[in-house]
Amino acid sequence: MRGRITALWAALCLLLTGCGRMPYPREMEDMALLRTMGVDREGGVLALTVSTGPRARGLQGDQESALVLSARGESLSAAALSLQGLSDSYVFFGYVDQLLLGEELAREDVRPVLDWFARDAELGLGARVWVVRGSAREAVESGGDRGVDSRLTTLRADGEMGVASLSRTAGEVYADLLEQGTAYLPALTVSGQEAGSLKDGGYAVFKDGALAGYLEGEEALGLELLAGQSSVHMLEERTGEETVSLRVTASSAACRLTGEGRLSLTCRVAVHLEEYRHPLTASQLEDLQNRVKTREEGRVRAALDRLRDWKADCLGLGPRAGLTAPQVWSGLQENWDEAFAAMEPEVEVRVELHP
Amino acid sequence: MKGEGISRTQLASLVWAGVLAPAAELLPGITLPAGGKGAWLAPLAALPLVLAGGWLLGRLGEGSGLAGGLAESGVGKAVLILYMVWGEALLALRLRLCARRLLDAGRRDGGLWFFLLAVAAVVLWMGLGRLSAFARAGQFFLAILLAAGGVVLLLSLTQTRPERVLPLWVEDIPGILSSALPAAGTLGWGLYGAFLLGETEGEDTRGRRHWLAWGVGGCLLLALAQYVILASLGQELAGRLDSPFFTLAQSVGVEGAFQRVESVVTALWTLADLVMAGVLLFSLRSMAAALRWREKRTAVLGLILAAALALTLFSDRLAAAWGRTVVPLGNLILGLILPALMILPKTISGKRGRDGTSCGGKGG
Amino acid sequence: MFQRPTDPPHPRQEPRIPQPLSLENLEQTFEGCADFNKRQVYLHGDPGRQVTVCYIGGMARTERINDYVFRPLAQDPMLASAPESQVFDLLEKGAIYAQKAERETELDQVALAIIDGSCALFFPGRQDALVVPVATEEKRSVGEPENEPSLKGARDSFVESLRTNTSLVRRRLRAPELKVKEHIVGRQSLTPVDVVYLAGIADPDTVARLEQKLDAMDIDGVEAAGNLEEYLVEASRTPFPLMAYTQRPDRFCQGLLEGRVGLIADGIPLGWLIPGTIDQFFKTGQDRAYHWMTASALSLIRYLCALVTLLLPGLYIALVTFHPEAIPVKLALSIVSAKQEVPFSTIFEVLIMLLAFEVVQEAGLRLPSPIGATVSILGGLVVGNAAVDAHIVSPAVLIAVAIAGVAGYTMPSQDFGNALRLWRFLLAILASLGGLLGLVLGCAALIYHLAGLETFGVPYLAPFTTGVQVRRGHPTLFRLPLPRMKWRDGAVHTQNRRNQA
Repeated sequence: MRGRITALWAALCLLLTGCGRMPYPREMEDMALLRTMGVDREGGVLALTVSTGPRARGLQGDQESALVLSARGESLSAAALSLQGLSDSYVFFGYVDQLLLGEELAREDVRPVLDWFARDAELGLGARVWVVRGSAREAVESGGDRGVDSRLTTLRADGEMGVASLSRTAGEVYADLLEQGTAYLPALTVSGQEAGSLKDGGYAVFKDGALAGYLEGEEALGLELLAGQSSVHMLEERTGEETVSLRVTASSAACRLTGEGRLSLTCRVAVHLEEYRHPLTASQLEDLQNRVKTREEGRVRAALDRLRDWKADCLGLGPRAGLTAPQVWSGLQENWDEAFAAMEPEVEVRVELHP
Repeated sequence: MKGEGISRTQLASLVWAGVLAPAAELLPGITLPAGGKGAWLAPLAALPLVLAGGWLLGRLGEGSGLAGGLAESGVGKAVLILYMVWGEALLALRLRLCARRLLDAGRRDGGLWFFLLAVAAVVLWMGLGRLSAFARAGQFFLAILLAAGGVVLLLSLTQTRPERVLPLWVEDIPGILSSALPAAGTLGWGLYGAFLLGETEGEDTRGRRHWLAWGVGGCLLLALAQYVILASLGQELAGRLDSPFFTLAQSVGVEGAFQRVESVVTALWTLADLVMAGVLLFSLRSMAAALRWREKRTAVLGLILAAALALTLFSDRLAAAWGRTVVPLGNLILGLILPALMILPKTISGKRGRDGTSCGGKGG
Repeated sequence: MFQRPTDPPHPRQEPRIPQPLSLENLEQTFEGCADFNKRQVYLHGDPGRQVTVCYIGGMARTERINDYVFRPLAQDPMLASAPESQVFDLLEKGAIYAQKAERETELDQVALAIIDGSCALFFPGRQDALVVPVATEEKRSVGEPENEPSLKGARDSFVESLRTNTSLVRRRLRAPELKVKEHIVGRQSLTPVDVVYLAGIADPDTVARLEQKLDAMDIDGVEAAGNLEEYLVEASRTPFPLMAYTQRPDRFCQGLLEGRVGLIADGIPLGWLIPGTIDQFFKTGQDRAYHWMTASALSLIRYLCALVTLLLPGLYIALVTFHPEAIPVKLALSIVSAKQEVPFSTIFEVLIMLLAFEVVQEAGLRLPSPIGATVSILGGLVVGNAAVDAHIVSPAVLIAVAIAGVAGYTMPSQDFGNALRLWRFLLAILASLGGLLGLVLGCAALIYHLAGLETFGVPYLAPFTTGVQVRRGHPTLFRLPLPRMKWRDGAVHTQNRRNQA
C-alpha cells in the first residue's frame, strides 16, 4: 500500500516537473479568431491576408472592429507564422471557414493551398472556397470594419441574393482535383470598398490544378442545372403580347452512358408562374413550357461546350454515368477527358410548369 | 490471473475495441495501393484470413489456454518467447503512435513524453488489476467508440459520392484480393486476444457461430466505414492523408450545434489504444504465468520497457513506417503461418495416434 | 486497509454480567439508574406469598404493567389457594395476561429483557425469574417520506421502530415465505437488525453471506447508517454507494420481489436492499407508476443528467482552453464577450465556482428554514449578480457550473450524487492538466473503477455488462411495459427467474 502511494507520488512529480512540456492552456480572449483567409501570389511569393469577424468587446453588445492582417512568405506555413508576429493576440486559425484564392494564384496551381488545408491541425477541409477575379487581399480588405465573413456567408446561404448559389468546400474541391483532375469553384468580383462590394462572378473551372476559365451568365446557369442545384432565378417570356414572369425553383439532373459511350443527360426543371396579366390558356402554357425548355437546353449546351473545349468534366458526369453502365465505363475511364471532348452528349430537358 | 473469468462476448469486444485503434490509423492508407477503387472491400476480403487465424489459434489453445499449451514443449517455449518479444514491440509502437496522434491533434500543445507517460500509467493501472474488471470496462469502451465513429460516419454520409468508389468491375477483383493481406495484417493486431481464451467461461451453447458472428459483423462494419471514408474523400486524397478517418471528423458537423469534432474523436480514440495495450499486457501476464515467471512483475517490467523503447528507440518516422509495413507482415506470420506450423505436427501425430493406439491429448 | 498492524485485541466478556441470578444482583447491576423500579406485592392479599416486580420506567408501559401484571397478581384467587410450589408454574402458564411469560435463569438475559421493556418477577427462594413483556410502543407515527416524495403511490415511510417497519413490509407482501431473521449488532447498543427476504426467490447464498457479515460485526453501536454500510460492503475503496436504501416500504417490497435481500435496523428509518447494482441508484419509486414511455424518457434523462453533471465542467475547461475549434463560432464569441475583463483564468474560474457551489449547498443544509430562504435569495441572486457585474466571474462559467449542479440534483440517490460531485471535481482538475486527453483518461479510469466494484458477488455494472453471469431479464436504460418484464434480474442470482405468466 505504501509502496503504491509513493510510486504514485513519484509518477505525479515526474509528470508535473520534468519530461517535456505539458499541454498549454490558452485563454480565448487572448486569441484573434480568424474567419476568412485570402491567399495570393504577389511577385513570386505567397501573400496571406486574414480577417476576423467583428470582435466582441463586452456584454453590452458593442463590438470592436475587425482585425485584418497580411503577411508574405515563401511558403504558406512561413507566411502563417509571420502573421503571429503582427498582432498582439494569438492568431488562431481554427475558425477559418472561408478561403479566397486570388486569380494569379489560381492560374498557377491551387493544389498546394488545399493540401495545406488538409494537413494543418487547425485548418480544416470544411472551409468554403471562392476564387476572386482580382486579388484576394482586396476582397478580404473590402470588408472594412465589419469584416467580410458575413457577406460571404450570405452569398453562400441565400441563393436568392445573386446568381451563384453553389458553394464548395475545400475537401470537395481537392478530392475532385485529385480524382478527376478538374473541379469548379464559385467566383467573386470585387467592386469597391464598401460592404456588399463582393459580388458573384460566375464559376471558375480548373484543369490539372490551374485555372482554365470562367463560366458566366447563361453558362453558369447551365452548370448549376447540370449539377442539379439551380439557384432560384427569374425568367421573362413573352406569350403573345404580354410578358410573363416565371420563377425557376428546383432542378435535378441524371446521366447515363449509352452503348457507344455517349453521355445522355436528362435534366428536370420545376418552374412556377409568378406574374401574369390574364390567365393563360392551355396552349399558351404549352408554348411557354417549350420556350423555357429551349432556353434551358441552350444554357446546358453552352456550358457543356465550354467544358468540352477545356476537356474538363468538372461535374463528374462520366463517373456518375458510369454507375449505370459499368462495362462501358471500364473501357472509357482511362481517357475520359478525350472522350468527353470528342463526343457530343445527348441533352434532354423536361420542364414542369406549375401555374 | 485469478478471479472470475470473462465471457466470450467480452473477449470479442475487447479484441475489436483494441483493433479499432490501428484500423482507424491504417486502413484506407495501406489497402489503397493494392486495392485502388475497391480498397473499401479489403476488410471483407480479409475475412477468411481473419477467421482462419482465429480458428488456428483457438485450436492451438484448446485445453489449457494458448500460453499453457505452447509452454509444454521446448519448441513451444521458444515460440512463446517470440510472441512475447513481438508483443513488446507492438506495445511500444502502440504507445508511440497514440502519443503522436494526440500531439498532432493540437499543433502547439505539450511534449510527446507527457502523453505517452499519461497513457502508459493508465494502462499499467488497468493491466495490474483483474481481467474481469478490464473486460467490463472494455465493453463500455467499445460502445463509446462505436457511437463516436458512428456519428462521424453518419454525418459524413451527405458528403459521399458513390461514383468515387463504384462501380467495381471484374478487373478490380485481383486488386481487392491482394489488398486483403494488408487488411488482415492490420486486423491481426487482435491476435493477442487468443492468449486470453483460457480465461473465458460460460456456457458453450453458441460456440463457433458466436465467433463467426463477431468476425463477420466486425469486418462488415469496417468495410462500411471504409466505403464512407473513400466515397467522401476519394482515393487520391485518402491516400495522401496521414489519417483519413480523423480528417473526416474534422469536416463533419451539424450546422449551429457542433462542428470540427476532430479533437474530441481523437481523444476518444485513446480508449481504443488503452484497450489494445491492456490486451497486450494481459496476454503478457498469461505468457509469464505459463513460463512460471512472476506475473505482475513481468507486466510492470514489460510496460516500462515498452515505454522506454517508445520514447528512445522509435522515432516518429520509424514508428509510422513500421506500423505500415513490418507490423502487418509480422502479424500475418505470427497469426497464421506460425500457428499453422505448430498445429501441423499435432494433427499428424493425432491422426497417427488414432490409427494406432487410442489417443488422448487435445491436438487430435 | 487502514488498520494499523498494532491494533490490540478486543475480547468480549461472556457472560456480560458474571454473577448468578438474584434480586440483589439485579439491583446492583442497575445501581445508579433512577428509572429502575421494583415493587413487592402480595399474591391475592396473602402476606405469606410475596413476589417482587422489577421494571424500568419509560420502557415498560404503565397501563400494561398495571392491568396485566399487577391486577391478576392482586386479584386472582387461584394464586393464594394453590400450593406454593405451583405458583410459578401457574403464572408462567396463563395467570398473567401477557403475550408471553418466560422463565429465565441468567442474569444477563433478565437484565437485557428489563431494558427491552419487560418486567421481571422474582420469587423468594427461587433461582430463576419470570419475564413478562410489557413494553411501551412510543415511536414516531408513520408519516410521509420526506426525501422520496411520491405523487402517484403510497405515502407511508419507514419509522425508527423495527417491528413497525417489518409490519409495513408484511402488509404489502402477505406471502408466508417472507422471512424475517433477526441479528443483534453492537456491544453497547445491542441493536436488533432484521434480514428480510422471500424464501424461494432470493439467493440463499447472498442471505448467508449477509448474515455472516452481520455476525462478524463487532462494534460498539449502530447509531448511524454508515455503521452498517461501511462494515457490510467494501466502502473504503470507493465513494460510490454499494447498498441501495429507501424510506418507502413500497420500493423496499419491490426490491424484495426482484429477488434482493432487505435489511432493516432498529432506530434507523431506512430499508437497505442488497445487492446494490448501479441501476438501483437511478430508479425512483415512481418509475412503475407512470406509463412506460414517460418512465423510459425520465430514466434516460436521469442517465443523461448523470453524464452532464460529471462531464460538463471538465468539458468546458478542456474545450475552451485547449480545443476551442470544437465550439461553434457564435458560442465561442459569446463566451469571449462574457469573459472580457475577468481577471482569472478559465481553469481557476471553473474550479472556484465548483467550490462555491459546494459551499452554498453545504450552508443551505445547516440553515433553519426561516433563514434559509432569505440567504438563498441573497447568495444566489444578489451576490451572483454582483459578482458578474463586477467582472469577478464570467456568466458563461456560472451557467456551465449551475447546469452541472442542477443536473446533479436529479439523481434519486443522494449518495450517488455525492460521489458524482467528487468525481466531477477530479475530472475538472484532470481536464485542466491535460485537456481532452486528461478528461478521457479520467473517464476511462472512472469506468474501470466502476467495473471493478462488486457487492455480494454481483458486479456493480451488472445491468450493463453481465459477463459470465446469466443474461439479464430486461433493459436498463429504459423501462419496458410491465406485461413484458417477465424475468427477474439474472445478475442477482435469483432462484425463481420468472415473475409473471
